[in-house]
Amino acid sequence: MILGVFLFLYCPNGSTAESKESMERLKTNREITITYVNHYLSLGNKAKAESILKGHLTVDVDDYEASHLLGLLTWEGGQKELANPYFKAACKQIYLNPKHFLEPELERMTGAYLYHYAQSLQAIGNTEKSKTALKLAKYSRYVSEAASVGLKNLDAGVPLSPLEFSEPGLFNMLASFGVGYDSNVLLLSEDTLAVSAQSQTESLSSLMSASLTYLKPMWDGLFSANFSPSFQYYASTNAQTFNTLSTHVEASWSTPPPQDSGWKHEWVSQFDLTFLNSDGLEFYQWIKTLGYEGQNHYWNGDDLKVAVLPRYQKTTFDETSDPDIERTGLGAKLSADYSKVFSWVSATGGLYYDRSQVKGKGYRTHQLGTVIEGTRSLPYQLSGNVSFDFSKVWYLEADDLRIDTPMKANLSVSRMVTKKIQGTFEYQWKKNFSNTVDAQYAKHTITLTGTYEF
Amino acid sequence: MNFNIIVCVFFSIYSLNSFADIGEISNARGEVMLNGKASKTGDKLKPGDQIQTKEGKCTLLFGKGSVVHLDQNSNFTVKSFEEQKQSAEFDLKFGKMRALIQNKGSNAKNFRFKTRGATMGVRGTHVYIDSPFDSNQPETFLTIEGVAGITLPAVSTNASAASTQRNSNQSSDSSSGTQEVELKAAQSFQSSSDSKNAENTQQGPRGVVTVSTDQMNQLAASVAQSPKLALVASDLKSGAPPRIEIRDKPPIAPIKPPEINFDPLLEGGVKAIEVNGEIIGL
Repeated sequence: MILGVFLFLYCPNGSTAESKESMERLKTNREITITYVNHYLSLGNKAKAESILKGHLTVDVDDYEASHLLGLLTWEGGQKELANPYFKAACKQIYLNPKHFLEPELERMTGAYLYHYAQSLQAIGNTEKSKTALKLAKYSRYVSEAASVGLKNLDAGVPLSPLEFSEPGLFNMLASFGVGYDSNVLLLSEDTLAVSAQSQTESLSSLMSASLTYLKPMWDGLFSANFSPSFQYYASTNAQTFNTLSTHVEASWSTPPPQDSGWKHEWVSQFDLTFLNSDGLEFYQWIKTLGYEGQNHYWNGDDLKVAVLPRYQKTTFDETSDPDIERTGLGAKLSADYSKVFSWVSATGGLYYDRSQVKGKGYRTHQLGTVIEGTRSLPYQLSGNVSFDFSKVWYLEADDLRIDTPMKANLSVSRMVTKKIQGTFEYQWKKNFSNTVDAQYAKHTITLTGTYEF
Repeated sequence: MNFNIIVCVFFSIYSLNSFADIGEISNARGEVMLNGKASKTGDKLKPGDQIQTKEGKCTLLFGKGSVVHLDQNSNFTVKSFEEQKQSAEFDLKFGKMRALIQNKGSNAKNFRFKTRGATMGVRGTHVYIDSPFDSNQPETFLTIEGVAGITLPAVSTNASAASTQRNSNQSSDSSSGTQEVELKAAQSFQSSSDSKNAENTQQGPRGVVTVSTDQMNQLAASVAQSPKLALVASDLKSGAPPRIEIRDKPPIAPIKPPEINFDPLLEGGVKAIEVNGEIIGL
């Protein structure tokens, strides 16, 4: 009896470990099988691929991917009646996986298996069961549209069309709140204008921002839309206010990333709108950018990114009278960046050229710059980033023949505090050397930000 | 006379075996060289063949159930492969590889992957090896599934004893002068940077660590992802072959699934599914 109790207590643990081990072995064997099948299909040897799948399914009857593929190969061979049991087996096997509608990959497969099963049922004349399979397929967001059309086709006695996946969209939302210190608030935010002037006012500041992104696979690529409003409030000590409300709207469509190496192309449309109340000086500005970004991914993981981003900007001050400082007009930015992943750091280095051909000749500029950036993981699950931006700006048509040399260094450390919240500490140093005394400035900024992902 | 005939037959069989095809190259992408010449998918492999990947990757198939994925910048030599005896010997001079060997029931670790500092012996299993080109960098051995044994070159008795105390996976064999490390599933072992270096030999191996599933998947995917069936629109178009390709996970968040209960006992087997309370037969 004691032995019986011992065995009763002992066996479950042993069998659990054994079952985990055998599951892992199944996984290995399935990958081996699919690799061989892939190989023979790539050589056009369908018979060999079919024979391997059949052999594999005699020892691993629950492999739904193998059953489905065998169904496809049989269907392709014109034996539509014989394909039916394989599709049926694939549906049953995938339903045994409790996550069949919970994980996107499985949801996609489940929908497709049911649709293909419905096709094979129709081929053998079982319309009623075919309808049932399509009703179930509608629960997969990837197949719901095709299944709905299929149900109508079945009612009309029309053969089901080849499966076309529908790709559902994804919303992602982030909200950030930050506090910081600025040693020398600039009169015009240099994030929205290339040039600025110092206020010689130090201030505490707070920043609120949100980012809403919508992603939808379409036209064999990925469509992305982003809306990011932000508000920065400076609580200065001498009653000056420097508040900025800005909104960035971006829509882009990109080709799929290359599997191993090659180009990814992206067409971008951006719209930036900024309202600024800077020590009584109010202005609004919008910039429309329409351009192209290309990213070449190399075998070893390196990336070359090139971008051509022409733009039109409209800037309105409340007291614009001097046509020489009218900042409305055309511009363009060309850039090339190379990224390389070393064992200790991910590094990026790049060059850019920016041309601003605005109406006011005082702000027609040529800018040539370079950016260097490094990111690496640090102890305590921290991630560190360092960047340095150095450029030269020529105001070739300005009366004072102004030449600026702006420099910016950034150091940030971030950490995921919880699965949803990321904390970031950032220090920034900026300095502008210029032959025009009014344009010279230096400043330090410290910011602490918390970002929540919904 | 008879003796001469026997010798001739023996050598003929031996030489036939030596030059018989024992594997082939699959899924060759980018710059993959076979004995110094550009190779392609379908090229056959013989004992002694050397495969070098530069800006490319490939998969090698041996017999009916052994797969070796080679990452870029790897140098791999096929020493021997015998399907029936379930034994093989390969040399990974440098680079990264992932091997999947089908378990045929044997307990002997007859598949041997030799690197510059150690030999990894496996039977039916799934393993990953990283042997950096720079010999000052340590080599990494990982068992994703199954069990593997690492044989290291001779170490001093004291060092062996010390390392045995550090980790129960390690043992030394004073008769052969080698040190054995057993790696179970999800365990990784990093050799010292150069096992021939006396100083490092004194230190012994750094030890066995357990690796998380995420890390294993990441390492496995870095060499070659498991091929997934791509359910493309043309799957059932007449005449178009089903396509199989590696596909990234779609950027889609999971949704609340419909309430589907699978009841295997219903109608005597897998014949019905309950969807939101309604029983639907398949």
